[in-house]
Amino acid sequence: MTSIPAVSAQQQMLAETSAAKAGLPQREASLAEKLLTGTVTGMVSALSEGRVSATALTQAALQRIDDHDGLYNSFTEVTTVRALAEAADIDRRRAGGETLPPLAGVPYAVKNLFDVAGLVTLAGSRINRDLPPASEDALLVRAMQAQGAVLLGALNMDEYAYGFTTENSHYGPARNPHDPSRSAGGSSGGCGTAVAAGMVPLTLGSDTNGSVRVPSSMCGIFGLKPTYGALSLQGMFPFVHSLDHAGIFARSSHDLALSYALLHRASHDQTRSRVDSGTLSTDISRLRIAMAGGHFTQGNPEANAAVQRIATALGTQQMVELPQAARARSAAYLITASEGAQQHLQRLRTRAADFDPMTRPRLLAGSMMPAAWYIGAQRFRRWFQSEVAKLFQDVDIILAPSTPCSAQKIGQDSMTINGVEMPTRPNIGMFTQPISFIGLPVVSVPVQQAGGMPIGVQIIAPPWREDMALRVAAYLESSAVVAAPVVTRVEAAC
Amino acid sequence: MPLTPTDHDTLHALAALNDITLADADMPLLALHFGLLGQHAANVLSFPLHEELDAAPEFRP
Repeated sequence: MTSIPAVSAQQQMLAETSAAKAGLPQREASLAEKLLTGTVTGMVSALSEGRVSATALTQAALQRIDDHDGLYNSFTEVTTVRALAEAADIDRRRAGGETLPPLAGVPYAVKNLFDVAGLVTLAGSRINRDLPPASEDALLVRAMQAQGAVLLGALNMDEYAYGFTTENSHYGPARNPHDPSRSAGGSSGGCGTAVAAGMVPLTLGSDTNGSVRVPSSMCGIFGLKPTYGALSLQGMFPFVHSLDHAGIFARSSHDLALSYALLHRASHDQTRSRVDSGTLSTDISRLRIAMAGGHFTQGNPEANAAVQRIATALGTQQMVELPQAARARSAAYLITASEGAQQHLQRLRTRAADFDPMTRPRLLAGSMMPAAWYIGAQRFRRWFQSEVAKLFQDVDIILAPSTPCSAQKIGQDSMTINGVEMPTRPNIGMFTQPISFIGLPVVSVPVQQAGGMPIGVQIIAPPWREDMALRVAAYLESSAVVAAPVVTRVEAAC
Repeated sequence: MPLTPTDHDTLHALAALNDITLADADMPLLALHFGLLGQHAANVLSFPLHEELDAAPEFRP
């Protein structure tokens, strides 16, 4: 069941712009199509040198969405009019000799829990369809516009961000470009798919328990979940106030760094970040790096092998154990259940039947939790934070799998992890939850497996040291250990 | 380990504390998820934290 609003209007606009596109030199149109499947850095270079216009790049993105997204279902709304207007404005300003901001002309999209002026903020739900359109953009969307980026649309997600698979009963599943019969991960599944399939080079998502890192892993791209509080959540539909983060998806570590630096500055009067540009050193010689043991080795062999591959490339075999990581995961579960339920209490009273049938019982259960469970979880959180901080006295970077396995089939209710059969959906975040629980910054890097699905590895740093995690990611990327090539369309028996 | 109820009357009563009316069709999955939360609670609450830890939730990265 797929519903993409205003398809006919979008197609009409596309037809009109195709006529306009016919006026674009074929060489420029071809270059735009090629650049779109590259990096932001490459696009920025071509745009600033005048080899391609923002309009041509936007046209190419719209065409690619039209060609591929009927299968992948990553977009719930394509903002064609806004995108072409923003692109035309960039081209006009550039022609006038104006010095343009760093992301001028770069296409991007956002998870549909970010406010976009004139759009209803769906947050993956049917209930939110009844809300009025947002009166203004979320802060991060305003920031992207201020940096010259061009908004292509809003992206599919798990209802109210309560999921790891983007199997959305209202809008259909987001499909993995590597194998469309498989999940894109969640809850920011549309974000992962749109970047992996080369429709846009950048997307903004959210991560409460793994919703940036899981789709990054499943779709084989880079994802950044920064330190808790590093990016503004103003205008982002909330899920769990104690755990919500905004995050970024891209096909290169430098693209993550560039966009994060800009968005962090927009989020705070005084920056706490040491990432100030897209230029990343690849000198990791002084970084002390270790693999997380214990709980984090309980994934499938492919997850362990991916971490080992990264560790070998970084020249380390050191292990470190995060104490009580399984308990940390349980505590994150309790906080999520309780705060998530409180967020939706009024809707549970009046619109219970309109929730996704997989979301509703989880929210109801959370609404019944005794306070002692929640408070116990928050107290444990402070203990766990303190213990992990001690580890960072001896190491700078900790490696762990992003997911216990690669992408599972859409609709698959159970999976086997390390020889144990367990429900799929609640357990995909088993390695991400303990980390976001204490707000540590993480870059998920993609390990491509020959003949198989990709899988991600978490590069985990101390609070406010996104620079170290990004530097490690850049080193791995420059060494060709990790990569995020655009995936060409694969038909599947869906 | 916390004993989470599965009987419908108790689940209805708990939901009523929040002014929520449950549908009978939700009961099986609700009981399942409530049970899972109970298991997580047992996991967390069985860990001996020192009493001097401030019970008020406060978190900074």
